[in-house]
Amino acid sequence: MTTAKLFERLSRLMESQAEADKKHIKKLHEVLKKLKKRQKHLKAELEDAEGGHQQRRIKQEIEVINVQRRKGVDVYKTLKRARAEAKAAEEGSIPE
Amino acid sequence: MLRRILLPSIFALLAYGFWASANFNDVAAGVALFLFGMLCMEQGFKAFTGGALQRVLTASTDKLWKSLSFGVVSTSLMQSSSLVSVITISFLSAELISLAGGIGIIFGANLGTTTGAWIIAGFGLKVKLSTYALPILVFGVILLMQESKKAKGMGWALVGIGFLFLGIHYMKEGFASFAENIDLTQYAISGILGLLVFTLIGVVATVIMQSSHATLTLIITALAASQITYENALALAIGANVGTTITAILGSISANIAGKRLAGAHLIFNLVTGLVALIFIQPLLTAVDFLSDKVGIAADDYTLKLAMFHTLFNVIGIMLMLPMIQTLVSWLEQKLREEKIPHAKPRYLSDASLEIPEVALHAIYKETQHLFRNAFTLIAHGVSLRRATITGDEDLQELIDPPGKVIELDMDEKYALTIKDIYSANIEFLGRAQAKAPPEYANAYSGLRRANTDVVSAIKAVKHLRKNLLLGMRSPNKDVRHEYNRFRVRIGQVLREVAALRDSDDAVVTLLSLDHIKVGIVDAESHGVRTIDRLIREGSITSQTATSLINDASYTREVIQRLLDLTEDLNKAAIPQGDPVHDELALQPEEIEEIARSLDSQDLPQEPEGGNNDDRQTI
Repeated sequence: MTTAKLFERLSRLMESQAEADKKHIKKLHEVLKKLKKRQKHLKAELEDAEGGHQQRRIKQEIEVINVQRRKGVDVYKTLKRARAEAKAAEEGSIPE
Repeated sequence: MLRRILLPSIFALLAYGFWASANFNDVAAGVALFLFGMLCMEQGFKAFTGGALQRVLTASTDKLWKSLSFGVVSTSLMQSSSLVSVITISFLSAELISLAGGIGIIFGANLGTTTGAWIIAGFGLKVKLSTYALPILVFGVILLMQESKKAKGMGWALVGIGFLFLGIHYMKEGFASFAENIDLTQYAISGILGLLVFTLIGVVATVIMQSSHATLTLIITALAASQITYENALALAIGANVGTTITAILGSISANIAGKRLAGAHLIFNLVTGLVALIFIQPLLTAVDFLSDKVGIAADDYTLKLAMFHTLFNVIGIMLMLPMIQTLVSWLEQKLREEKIPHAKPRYLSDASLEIPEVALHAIYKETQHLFRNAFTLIAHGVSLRRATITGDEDLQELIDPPGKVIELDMDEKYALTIKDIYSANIEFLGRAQAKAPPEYANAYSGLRRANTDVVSAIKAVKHLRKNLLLGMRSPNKDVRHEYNRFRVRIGQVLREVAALRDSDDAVVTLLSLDHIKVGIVDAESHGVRTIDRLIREGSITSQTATSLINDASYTREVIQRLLDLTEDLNKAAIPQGDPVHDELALQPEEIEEIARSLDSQDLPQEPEGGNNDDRQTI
């Protein structure tokens, strides 16, 4: 395999990885938005909830979403950071 | 509408009959005992399915001549074509013999029954069924108490025969006054009119007495005493032969469609035979005279000549009908069709979709959802909850306190009707699709296979739970009732939440929502365990009830877990391959436990401490 061909393949692989990362971030963002919306809705529902059982279930769900969102935000930040670093590295490697 | 008023009308008529006539009591009791006997016999014969009886019956009825001989011999021995008919119907209902074999036996029974006339006319003897009823019942009940399945089967068969005998006995007793009132000498009519009238009397008398033997005894004794003419006696015998089919028709009421077809064949045979005998009565009489002369029966021995006539026209009937037996079978199968209850069938699967992996995956995904929708109703009804209650806004917690309302349900039947065909089709489709699909589809197919088996496992767990649940949810012991209703509510709650998730358009969000349900499960379980411990400590429930509750709690857990698993598998199959978002956000088991525990300080509203010890009971 010639160097040119190898380089072409590598860049294609990197491009598809970058594309996958982009999709991943987009999906994560989308899910986090939906979770936030659901959490907001639940908080409003909690105020109107009557009876201990219902309140307890809503509180549990809010807490579950809380943990899920926290985990999601961590992943989101990590992905964004990695993407920024990759971009910076890419820009740094371009000869002036 | 008609069905709604039919049963109350029958009850009203029966009640009036019981009030108006003591004889009617006997007759109605006779019919009830007779029908119960039929059911017992069917139960008994089923125990031998695949065993010795089936081998004997199969060997005795695999050829037409054998079925005929079996009918002739058994009826001659039992001296009751009615009994042989009803036994044959029960054999057929239990699928121990074929319809053609059964018809052969019935034809043979018609010939065998003519030996009765010979015995009565020749020896004046008659086997009385009622004499044997009680000893047979005693032997039957003793056998019923045995451990062995075959002994129990034999016991049921004997008890059945005993009740049949008793039933016939009561019917005869009840109609004794009718028989006494039939003064045959007053009705001596000659010519065609006499023939028709006495045939009708023979039919009616046999229908009333439930035994052609009884009618024949009456005819022969009347003939011997010259109370009726020979010609009228022949007509009565023809009528008795037709009337005897009522026993088989009565017996087929509780039988399945095969039994009804056999009763139909019996009726057709006896009607055709009777018609032929009526039309050709003169040539028959000549033949009877000729044959009687040949066997040395005196020309004025009308009773034996009557027996000869009885045998002769039945032989002619058999000779006429035998070549048409297959036509008769086909005709009966066409005319008397089984009322088919529609089975739920797969909607989305087709061979064509197997060719394209994506289409095949979508098809089986939709079909699994279809299976789950059907299972949803079955599971809901299994725990006596209406589908509308689950999908509505009603607070399910309100169901915990009052005694639950039972939803009558045959889970096995419903399973066969709404689940089995779809489940089988799905498993077959999955096997074929997976063999054709590229490897990247393997996980999705495995998940869908698990989802399908989860559906069935959830239903099975409900079936186990239901046994105690139906008692527990109505228990007078408030604590027991609460716990069982709590099982119902927990399952109902999960069904409600899982159903709500179906509306979500994002599979990842749906999967994440399952974490909340999981927290609820852990929470409810720890609450349940604490409650059972408290109830035992306070002596509100017996230790037997406590163990029942613990076992049934594990069935409840199984149902819920399977519902969760199948929802998870279904939704994972809908996520694009390699999408990591769910795995990144989903809670780990320890996180679920932690959330459930974190709210422990904010306890659930408790029922008043301590149940009423006076109504403590074991379920």
